[in-house]
Amino acid sequence: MLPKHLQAYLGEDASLALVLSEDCVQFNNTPLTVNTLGDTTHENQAYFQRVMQATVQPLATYRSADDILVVELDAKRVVDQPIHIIHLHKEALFRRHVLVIAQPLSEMKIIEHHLNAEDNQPMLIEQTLELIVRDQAKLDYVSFDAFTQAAQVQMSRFGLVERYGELTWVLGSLSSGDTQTENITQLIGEGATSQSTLLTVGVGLQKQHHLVRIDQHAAYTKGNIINHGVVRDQAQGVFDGIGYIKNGAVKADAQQESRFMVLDDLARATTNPILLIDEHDVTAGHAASVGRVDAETLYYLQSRGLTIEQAQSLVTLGFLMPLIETVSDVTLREKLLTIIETKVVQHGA
Amino acid sequence: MSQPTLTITDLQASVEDKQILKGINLTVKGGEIHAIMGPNGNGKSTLAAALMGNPKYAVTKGTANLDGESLLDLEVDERSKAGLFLAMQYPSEIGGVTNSDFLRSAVNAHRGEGNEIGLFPFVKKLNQSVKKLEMRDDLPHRYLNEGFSGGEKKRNEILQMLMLEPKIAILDEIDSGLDIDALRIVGTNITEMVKERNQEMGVILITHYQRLLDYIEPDFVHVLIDGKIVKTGDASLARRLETEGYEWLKAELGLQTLTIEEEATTAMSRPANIGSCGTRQKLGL
Repeated sequence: MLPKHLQAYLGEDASLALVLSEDCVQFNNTPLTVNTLGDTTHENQAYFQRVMQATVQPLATYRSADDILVVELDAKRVVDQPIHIIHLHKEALFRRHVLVIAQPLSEMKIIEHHLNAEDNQPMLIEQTLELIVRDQAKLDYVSFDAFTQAAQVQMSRFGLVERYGELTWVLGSLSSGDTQTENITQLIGEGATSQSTLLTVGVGLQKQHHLVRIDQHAAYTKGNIINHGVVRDQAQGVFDGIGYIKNGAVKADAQQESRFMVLDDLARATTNPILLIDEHDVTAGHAASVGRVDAETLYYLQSRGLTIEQAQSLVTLGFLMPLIETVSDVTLREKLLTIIETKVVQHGA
Repeated sequence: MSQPTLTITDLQASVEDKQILKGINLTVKGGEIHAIMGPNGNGKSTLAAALMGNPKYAVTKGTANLDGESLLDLEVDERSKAGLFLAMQYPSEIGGVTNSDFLRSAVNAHRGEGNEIGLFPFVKKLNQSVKKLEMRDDLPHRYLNEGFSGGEKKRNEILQMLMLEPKIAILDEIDSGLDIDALRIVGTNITEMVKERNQEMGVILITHYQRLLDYIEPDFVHVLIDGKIVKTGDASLARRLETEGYEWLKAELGLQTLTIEEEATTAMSRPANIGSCGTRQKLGL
């Protein structure tokens, strides 16, 4: 059974959960196998060796095998209910390395939560996450963090997708402290696809840098990157969107869209859309923009009785809404909406 | 209930330092429908924008009072809350904001904090209005004006008018982009609303054509030329303008304006731009 406060947090319907704190791992009905890398099967270990050699960019620089937690879903298992992975952060310095494997033909949805015990404790959060989606497996991964400005956040996320596997990322970077994330997906098998959606709201003096990259090594692969960000006050934000089609990846498709909305005079935002293409027979496209809320739009909403602040909030939420709507879990969607509303609407963070 | 009065006195306004309105005098009372007609680029839309408070337009002289309260001293949203409504010629498209969320925010902004409309009364009223305007059932869930056809946008403006129940509604070329069915639907809804509200709402209708007036019988027709109302009459004036144009009127009043040929040449030499309106044309922008 989950502790009551966690059950309340996740909502009554949430039945599958994996709770990770500094010193313990708690399960609740999960269909997952959990091991350290040192204890996982020989099969898996051999596989990791192979994978690391096969990709140009290694998945991540491995530390000691015992520090890596391997979370695995057996081949052909299909889990409809979302599986919640909850990180409980208590200590000031927090490092975690989790590796998730969806074995061939398996399907699951994971929702990752970061909760910290004390709100304003200065913290350094460093997380490394790897997702491996094997042949024809499907993995939906939703992750969000909403630490206070006292926490520095560094997230490194890597994905690897094999033949006709599908990996969907939805990342909500909603912390108020300096944040750096890299999210790199390698599509190594024919027909592998990845859709990455990232949304963020920068407030106060916060600095953020988000890199989202999809490398397409094989034929018929599809990569789609969508980043939407809002910066207000004196916040600064950068999106690097990189779509890389390697030689031989015929009929590959790489798309990306990175947009920032700038709410205040001293807020700054940059988007760097990059397409690297080493193959002729492909399709690719990108869109990028950095801009303020359109004056005509504000006037239109004001003419219907909304104050300029209300109009601004409505347009800003509207800008992020299509991304929030990609989250299928209703409880989580409401939660994200509340956090975003607070961040967008509140003044002088 | 009370009958509102909008009193406009010697209103002058400019855009980018070019004077467009040169002294408008007009009084509109609840229950009345005033049509404002006139050739392109003579200040009809500027009048609407100046009354609503579009930041691009500067009022340089004159007053506009709604029930004794000076509109010109108010912010745009305060003018709306005071009871003024403008159906825009080019409504903005706003992605991610659903019609129903937007309308509910707008209705509640008018009702004020602590007096918000309940969900059920709101949904009921919205559904009734959608039906009256023969709009798509999924309208409440669609994003505000995004991907709407020209006609849908105009109907959506009227929908907002039905929901907000203003004291004075200005409809700026609500007939442009409407096919014949939509024209009938929009026209009859405006007429019905004025009747139903029994002198609580007055309408200023800005239009080029008589055709909308087939469905809305105006009490007054004003002709606006070169920033001034040069003639006021009843519905028959609109019909005469439709058949004979403005030339007889200009001749009668001794107005110096461009001949039609000259207008055509300037129009040809101007680069095409999307969303060009009368004022921009006048400025040669």
